[in-house]
Amino acid sequence: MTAEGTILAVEDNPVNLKLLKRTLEQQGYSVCPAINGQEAIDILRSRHPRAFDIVLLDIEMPEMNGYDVLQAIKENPELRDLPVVMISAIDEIESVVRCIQMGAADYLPKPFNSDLLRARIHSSMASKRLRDLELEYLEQVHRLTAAASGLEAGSYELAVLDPVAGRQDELGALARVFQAMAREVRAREERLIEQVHELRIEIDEHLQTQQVAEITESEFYKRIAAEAEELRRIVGSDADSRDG
Amino acid sequence: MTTGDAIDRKAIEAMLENTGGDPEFVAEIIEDYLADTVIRLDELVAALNAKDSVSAKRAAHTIKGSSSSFGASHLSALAAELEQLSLQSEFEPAAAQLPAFRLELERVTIGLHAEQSRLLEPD
Repeated sequence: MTAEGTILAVEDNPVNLKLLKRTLEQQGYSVCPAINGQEAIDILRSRHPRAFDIVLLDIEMPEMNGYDVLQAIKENPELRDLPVVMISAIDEIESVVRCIQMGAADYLPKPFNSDLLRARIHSSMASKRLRDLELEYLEQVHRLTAAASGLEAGSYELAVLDPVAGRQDELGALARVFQAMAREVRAREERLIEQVHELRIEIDEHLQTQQVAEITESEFYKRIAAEAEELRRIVGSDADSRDG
Repeated sequence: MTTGDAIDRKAIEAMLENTGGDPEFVAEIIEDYLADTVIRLDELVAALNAKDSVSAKRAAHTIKGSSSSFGASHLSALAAELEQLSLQSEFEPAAAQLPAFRLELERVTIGLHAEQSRLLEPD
């Protein structure tokens, strides 16, 4: 995509299409030409929904005319926000009205006036960019709310918020605060888990000591220990008498 | 035959400016237009003979649109009349206008060839 934007130009008159393409390219746009309505639809279907910034569409075309193409674009949820500027002869105002009612953004009379072409495309392109920003904003708000729900459910998938946190506006600030707080909650939880583990070890050691004490203080142990001591004493005195 | 106002020279000058100031491109597209218009005229004649309103209207419409781009406003107006007559299936009145249309196309051709020469061999 060029700096100015990408245009799908649909015009069945090959001479006018060549002229239109060259004029738009001189204005800094990248142009994809389509010689009829069906070709335009095929191109739109084969590309990414946001591949084009604007469609320039001739009304009078054989077989699939401008109305049919416009309707197909407006019925497609992925394409319906793509601005369509109709191209019409100056005596086709009624057709233009119909197209605007069907959702066309604007119209351009033929023959093309270069300044008007530039102004209308610029205006439609600006609306499109605003709409794209709005859609991106809504998508990022959705990411943030999804991350909040995830956190509530115990998930710490914070990397998905990186594009939102990179914004320099209030939504970006909110995402950064959210990420910082979520990281803190996570760190606290991890510390807590560690402490519980340490506590469990201490409890286990204490239990062990208690069990040893219970055994060594029992009558049975005392009796066994006394017998063992007696045996050691007998074994010791026998050895002394042999040595002597 | 005069070539007087068959072509509005300002339209060609504007075309040259708007397409990046390349005279060869404009000379080439003038040739494209003249060749295409001859083909469309043949289609128009065939459609009028066959009393095919849709095809006749389409051919006349195309000539109307491209002629206005090349400053051939009178030829464009004649094509607009032929478009209307075709739309109303007035085949005979349309056919009766063809000689005047051909004459104007000749004037436009001469005028545009002069523009091509001016573009490619400037004084």
